[in-house]
Amino acid sequence: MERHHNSVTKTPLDRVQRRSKSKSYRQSLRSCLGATCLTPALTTRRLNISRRAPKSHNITEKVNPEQLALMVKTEWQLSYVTPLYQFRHTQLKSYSRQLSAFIAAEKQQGLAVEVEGSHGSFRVSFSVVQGMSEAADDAETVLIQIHLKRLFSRQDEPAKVVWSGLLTCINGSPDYLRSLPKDFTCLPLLCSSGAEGLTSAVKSWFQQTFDCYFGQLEISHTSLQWMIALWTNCQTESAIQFLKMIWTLPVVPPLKVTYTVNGQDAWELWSSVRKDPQKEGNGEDEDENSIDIEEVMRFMQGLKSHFYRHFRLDLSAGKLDQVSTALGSAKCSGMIKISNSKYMISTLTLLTECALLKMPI
Amino acid sequence: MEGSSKGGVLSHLSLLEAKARSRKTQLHQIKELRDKVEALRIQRDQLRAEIETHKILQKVRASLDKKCTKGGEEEELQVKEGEKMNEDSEHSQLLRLMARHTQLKDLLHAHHIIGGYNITKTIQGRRVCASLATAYEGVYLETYNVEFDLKPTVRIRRHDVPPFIPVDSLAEQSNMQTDIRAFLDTLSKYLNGYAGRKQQLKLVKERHKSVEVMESNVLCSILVMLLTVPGERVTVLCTLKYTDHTRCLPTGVYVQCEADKELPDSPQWKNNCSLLMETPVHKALTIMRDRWIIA
Amino acid sequence: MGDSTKSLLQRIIRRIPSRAIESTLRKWGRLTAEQLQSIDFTQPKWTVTQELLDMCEEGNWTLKFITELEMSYIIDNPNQGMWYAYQLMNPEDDANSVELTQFKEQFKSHLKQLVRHISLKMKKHTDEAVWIRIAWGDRFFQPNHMKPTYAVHYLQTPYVFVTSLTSKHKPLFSQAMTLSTRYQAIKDANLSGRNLTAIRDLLMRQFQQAFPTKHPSPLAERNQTVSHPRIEKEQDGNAANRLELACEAFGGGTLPQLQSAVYKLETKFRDQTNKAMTEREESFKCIVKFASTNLLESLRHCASSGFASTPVTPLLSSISLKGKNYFVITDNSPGAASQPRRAQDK
Repeated sequence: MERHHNSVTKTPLDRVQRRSKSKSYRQSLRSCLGATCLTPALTTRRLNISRRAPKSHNITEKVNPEQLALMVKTEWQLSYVTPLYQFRHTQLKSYSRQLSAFIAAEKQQGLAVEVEGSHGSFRVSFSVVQGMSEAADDAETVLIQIHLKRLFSRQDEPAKVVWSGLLTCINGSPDYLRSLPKDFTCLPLLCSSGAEGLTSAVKSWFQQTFDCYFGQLEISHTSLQWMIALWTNCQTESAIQFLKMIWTLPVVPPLKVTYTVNGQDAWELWSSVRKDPQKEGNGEDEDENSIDIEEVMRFMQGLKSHFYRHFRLDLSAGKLDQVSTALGSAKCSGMIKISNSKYMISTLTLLTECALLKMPI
Repeated sequence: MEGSSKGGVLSHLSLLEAKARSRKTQLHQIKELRDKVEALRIQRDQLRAEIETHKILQKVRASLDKKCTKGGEEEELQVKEGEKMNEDSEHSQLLRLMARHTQLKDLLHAHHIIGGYNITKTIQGRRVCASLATAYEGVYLETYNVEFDLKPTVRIRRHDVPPFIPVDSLAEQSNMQTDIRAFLDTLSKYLNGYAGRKQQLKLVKERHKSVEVMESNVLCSILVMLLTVPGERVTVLCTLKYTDHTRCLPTGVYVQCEADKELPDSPQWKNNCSLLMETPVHKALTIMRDRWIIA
Repeated sequence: MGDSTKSLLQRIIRRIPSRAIESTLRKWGRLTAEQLQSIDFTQPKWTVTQELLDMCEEGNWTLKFITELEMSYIIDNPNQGMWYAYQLMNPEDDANSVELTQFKEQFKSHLKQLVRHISLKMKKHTDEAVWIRIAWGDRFFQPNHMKPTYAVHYLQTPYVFVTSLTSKHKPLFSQAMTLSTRYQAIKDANLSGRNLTAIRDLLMRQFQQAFPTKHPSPLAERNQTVSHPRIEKEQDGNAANRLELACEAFGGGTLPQLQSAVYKLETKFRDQTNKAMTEREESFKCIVKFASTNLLESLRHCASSGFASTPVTPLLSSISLKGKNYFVITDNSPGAASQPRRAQDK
């Protein structure tokens, strides 16, 4: 499995040493391969074994409420994107025109664009979502919307949004971002919502224009478990109300198990598996708030053992397909819905990390 | 010619080679056959030993059977015979046990064949499953099962008796803790009654196409038939009520006729009613048909 | 009246899949041979519907005819919609001898006393089931034939299967049912599913259950396949054991098609490794739902393939055993702490 150091997490001494060792390794590798080499080798990346607990970021003030409302109510399909060549945030208007023309051309060629009442004209708008990014290295989030104006509609009737997409990079690994050559912009996460035909049209245009590659981003089993833990951890600030997990067991015919735990009870189980915060060391806030993968595993084990005690059925034999709480839902096929804007940033951070991990280069 | 002589030598050589090879295979074959013979001999000896044991076992079994059937009368004689067998005393205990085992197995099998309850113990005696067979007129019908938990109290765990036979209330009425047999007997009566009535209904439908079954129910406790009187083209509505669910014969027979109000009171039909009370319905209908009472 | 008749007919035809229309009409028996011949069933459905509507107009078909058609279709295709099982409790002495005509009359009269406008249809099917169709109205409105309730009852059994019964009409239906069947009360049997035949088979014990027996059935004896004598699969014994226990818990052969089972768990959290949670007073509340196209088949496969440990826990085996698929589990059973909790009847 690929492993990746997260330099953001502050860790006890020995881990710091490891980090610096790999950093020097990476630097030397880069110098070996020359300045044209794009990124560090895959083997030096490690999956997070410890994360910071999600802070609730009140972004409602910072972000345009319309854009935020869209982000919160939509269920997004995730894809990862390789870095974009010569993407300029200043050229968004020009991109809008180009993409509209491209889609119109595709439609003429007979590309199946199954949008109801697709007899009409498509208009694309690119816009920047201000206020999302925290880290200095992150590129600004871009929102793409495709509007459909029907042929015989009135002048004042607003065009309906039939497709939305979000290109974003939240708290991406600074090492990686800094290692990219000058002309490349890294917006590794694409969240799309709308007809499949339009999604592939947008992707083709991006591929043609910015020499990038799109791939399906599935949310791995471990990431889903992280989400369970991270969301449950928010119980004290915003009630999760319930923790719902859906497993599929590979029997004939397939058996779907929906395990819904009361929110408060889930939180009590979670707090019982947390390690005692260590008062020694620097006493930084981040230490108390860090969550280890072992704690996550213990939490999952607790849930599964309660289930096993009653049904004598081991859920590990099945596949975790979906996780949802009042704060949002995530499916292993790569669908995500963030229902509470406070945790938008933290969830997107995790997803950005997943996207970066999947980068082929 | 040179070629032919060379050919001669070479062919001769190849002939010799072939002969040598075949001899090898022959030897191999002979060895195989010898091994086979050995194996077969061992098998034959085993079978012979088994036959011997079986013969002795049969003798012991025969003596056991005699003991059981004739009681203690000729016991003394048998004991003397048994003493003769004590020659190979080490085996005699074992053989006697084996004979007893086969005797018990046959007894169980006989019990099963005559339709007694088969009781199977499971889970180290904590659970017991009883199979009740039903039969009517010499034909085996459905078998029903009841599984009991024996500890801490005797309790019905599950069964495949249909819900119109009140298993739970029968269980409450009889004291299952001390006498499961009584409960099983009562249940068996209900089941056999139901099976019998169901079979009768089936036979009526098969054998009497002219009789129209107007009403019946899942418990087969009521049967309403429309009978036609030949010649006069009169239809008679005949209702059979089986209020005693353990019996295969009705407890009440009622006859109605729209066209002829006097018909039910006629002596002929009063006879028919008593016939229907005493004879299973399919047979009664056959009798009535033969007597030209109904079509 | 004609309009509502026509719209009802339209709605019924819409519900029937195209391939079944001809056979359903034939079975209905109200169309003459010529009429049936005149319809070309290969046409698209709306054309056929139009022809039938015309026939309806000409023949002056009454509402009674149309509802007959609907009932006949539903009886032949009962496995749609959501069916709920109810159980009648505490029979009176004469519950066992209730006859069909008596039941029909009593049910009709009781229901008509309770509801002013009602359209009732009762029919006995060949398998002794009594089918009831109720179109509900009230003091001001005529019966609504678009949303009828269907109920199925076997006389002398305590079960009633119902679909499309609103909570408003439930008490009326319950009262009429208990009075006409001579029972004292009716309660929810906690069993529901899309397949009427499945829930009926489960409660009437008409599916194949596996009981431990010394004498295997003749068919089983004949079908023993003997694999190669020299090959001995190590896991064979274990696999056979698991299969036996799985069949005992859920049934053998073809199983009734249930779609889901729901367990509402309100038990304490117990785990040796987690002291804090084990000492907690309150229960760990959660709801577990099992779903599949054939739930019992899936569960049996779980048990026989080892996903579920055997012997199967009473929580899962209660589905077949008790004929229920909704359970509320609490800590009340006086068993040992290490045993799985027993199902409590709600």
